[in-house]
Amino acid sequence: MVDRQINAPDSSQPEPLSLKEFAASLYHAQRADNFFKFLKNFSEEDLADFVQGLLRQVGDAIDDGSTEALARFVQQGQVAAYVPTQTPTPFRPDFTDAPFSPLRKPLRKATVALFSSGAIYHDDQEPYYPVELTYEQAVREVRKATERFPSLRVIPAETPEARLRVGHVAYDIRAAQKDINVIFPLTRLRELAQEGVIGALAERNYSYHGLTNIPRLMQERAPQWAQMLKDDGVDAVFLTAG
Amino acid sequence: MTVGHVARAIESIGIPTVCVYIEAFRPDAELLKPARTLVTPHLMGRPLGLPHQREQQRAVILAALRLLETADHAPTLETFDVSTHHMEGHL
Repeated sequence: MVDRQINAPDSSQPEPLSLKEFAASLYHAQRADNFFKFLKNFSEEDLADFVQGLLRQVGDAIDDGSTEALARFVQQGQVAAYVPTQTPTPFRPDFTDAPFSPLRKPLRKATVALFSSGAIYHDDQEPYYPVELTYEQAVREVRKATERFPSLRVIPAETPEARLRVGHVAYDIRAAQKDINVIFPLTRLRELAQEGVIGALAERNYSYHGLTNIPRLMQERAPQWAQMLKDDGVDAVFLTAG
Repeated sequence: MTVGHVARAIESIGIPTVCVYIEAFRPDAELLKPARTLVTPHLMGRPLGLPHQREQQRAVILAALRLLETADHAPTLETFDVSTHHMEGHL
């Protein structure tokens, strides 16, 4: 009797979900997960191998009490998934030149500015994602982020970590929410300034949402921001990306 | 990885830069050619490493800052060598 009930056709049952479909749903879709969205780039066979390997690593991490090998496994998965996608495009040209400016004073006397595409902002500033969307909606509708013009947030050097927020919709922000220094090391650079490793941390540091309208960034914003840093009088810029 | 475009503009105006990229985006740095790049073996969203790993974060920053003093041409791209730094038992 029980078996018959289980096996009976049930129109309310969802369609079976393939592994590929599941992976695709992680990529800015219904199961949006920026940590593992890279799985969308794998073939079905590679995906199965990755999931099997991941489960094995999870088991070992539990038994061994260490996540080191698990983290390395996931990192290598990200590398395998993303590296083949980075070919030259109009937005990612294979530049033939490479502008170079030497550091004109010793680092211990240099004022260094922090500049990140990681979408960091002060809690009294506007967040980056479209104002009509919640953060969770913006993660699913990532295209809206790429259509937006890049805008900058100024982060003063003495900003306490507790006042910093992160709102990038294309990378997993959970680590940055736990410790902003994983991508915006304002505190670390302040410490290095106090120790005399660098002359000073710049008064004004900056962040923008790296997933943005790239032509506007290349043609307008980046040169403007460069001039702004020159006006700030900084000697070097330390840049991070998600 | 639009930060490479920003670094190029800053460098063009006369200010030296160093970028921290993760390994997964190394080709992006190789194409955009910011002047100095340190590539780290870390996860997306964690270019300096895992949360609360202060020594690891410092090691990455110091390696990147060193490029500001040592690089004599662009592009200079260096890989962060975890084996030569104290990693507190993590990536």
